Amino acid sequence: MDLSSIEISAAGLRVQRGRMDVIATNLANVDTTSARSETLRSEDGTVTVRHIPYRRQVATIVLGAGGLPSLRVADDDAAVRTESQPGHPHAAADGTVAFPNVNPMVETVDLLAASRAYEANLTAVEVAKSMHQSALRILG
Amino acid sequence: MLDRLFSSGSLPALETMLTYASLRQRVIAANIANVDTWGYREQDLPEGEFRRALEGAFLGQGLPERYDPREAAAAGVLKPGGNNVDLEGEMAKMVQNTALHSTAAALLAQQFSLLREAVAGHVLA
Repeated sequence: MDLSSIEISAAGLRVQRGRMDVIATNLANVDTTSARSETLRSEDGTVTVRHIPYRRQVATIVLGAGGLPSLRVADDDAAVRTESQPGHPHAAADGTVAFPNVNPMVETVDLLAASRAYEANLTAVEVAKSMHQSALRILG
Repeated sequence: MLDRLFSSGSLPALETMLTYASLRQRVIAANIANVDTWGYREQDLPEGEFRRALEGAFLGQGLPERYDPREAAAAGVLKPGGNNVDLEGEMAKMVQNTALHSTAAALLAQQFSLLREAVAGHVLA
């Protein structure tokens, strides 16, 4: 059976919400300098810990089964930004700290677009609902 | 005799309108759901086929089972990512489509209530 228009709109709502979740995660981690760390042991026995900052996640929407949109989340390959902060607990041996490649401005604009698209899908659900109701009123 | 009551006059035409409007709502919903989908092209139902179906309905021919969505002729500009869905245009189409649907539904309800009156044998004042 064909998908109803409400199910199609629900798929739209789902991907836009997923996109907003990804954006929220990016914004929350805008200054996360140690998403994971690696312990390196050199030959002379000194142990150094290398901190790897959070990497921005990119949400892309691709066409999935049945013409429905589906969300793909991948790492953003853009370079992380480094700052010289020798006293920072996550600083490397040369005193630089790697910060996530998240730009709050970009995230905010994306969030705005996602929330607008979410609302559009919500309107489509309401319209479909009112169409069902008016069809039911034919029964008298 | 009852068959003729339902298969002639305005009932089949109104049914065609109602079917077309509800199928078109699906296509519009899919366009809106895919507003940010990479490579998606705006779809629409062929208006010409609807027009022919409407004429056929008035002439007492059968109703079409379905309309196949195809790439919309007058779509919006191509956005980055190869998507050409014009969100505002889709919202406008949705409003027009709802108007078509509610008109058909209201007229059908009116037709059926007239039929009920006739069957019940009430005398209208």
